[in-house]
Amino acid sequence: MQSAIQEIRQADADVLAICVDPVEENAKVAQKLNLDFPILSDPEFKAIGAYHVLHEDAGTSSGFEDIARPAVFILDRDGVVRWSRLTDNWRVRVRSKTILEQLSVIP
Amino acid sequence: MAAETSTSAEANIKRWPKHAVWLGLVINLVGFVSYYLYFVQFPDLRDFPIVNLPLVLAGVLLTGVGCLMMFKQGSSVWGKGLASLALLMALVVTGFFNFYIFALSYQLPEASGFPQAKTVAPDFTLTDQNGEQVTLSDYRGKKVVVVFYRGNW
Repeated sequence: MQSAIQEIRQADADVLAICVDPVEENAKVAQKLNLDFPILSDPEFKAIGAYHVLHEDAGTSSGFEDIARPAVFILDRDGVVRWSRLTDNWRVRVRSKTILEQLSVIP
Repeated sequence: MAAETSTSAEANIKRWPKHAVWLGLVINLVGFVSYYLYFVQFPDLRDFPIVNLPLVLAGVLLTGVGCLMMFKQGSSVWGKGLASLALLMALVVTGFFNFYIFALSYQLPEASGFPQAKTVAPDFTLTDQNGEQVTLSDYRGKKVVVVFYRGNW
């Protein structure tokens, strides 16, 4: 995602990443991978629940805690969902190329 | 007399199964570990491990053949025992890797109830890595890519 961030911004879009980890963890990862888009912490599953992407008992850092399944939602300028992808395999992530293609067809 | 000149060659031939066992195990382990340490960064190779799966399989095969030959050759009990242990280890690694690639990572909940196309995405306000509050609806006017990560980096 980070490698495509310039192109995503050029398409007049922004990226918001969400995961269950606390702010400090996200800060460490953002620094380590040089991520320059917001990584939002959702330990209470507010967004994860609202978007129905909860994956129970699947975490690996400290026992089997609840986390999110990988998912991407692309919204238009009015906040309406135009595209979404929930992969059927948690090793497979949506490609940046796919995201850029989808962004290009949204006005 | 003629038999003597071939003993060192014979000795080398006799040793190859033992080398095969250990070389196979090394290849097997390297194939397995390098997936997680290195190859996962490349989406094409992470999604289907065309480098790592063959390595892991080649390794266990080599170890298996070496082990078989050691038994056929009548190697020492110690040699056969170690070789069997190496084979067992390679089989466990191979089994786990295959399980991970082909089964474990498909275990996801039913995908249902998530916001469909043409519905307004649920709003949220969460804290980013710098401690700032970020609200989705503040981004109206721009397109937004909302990405959910597994986390537990």
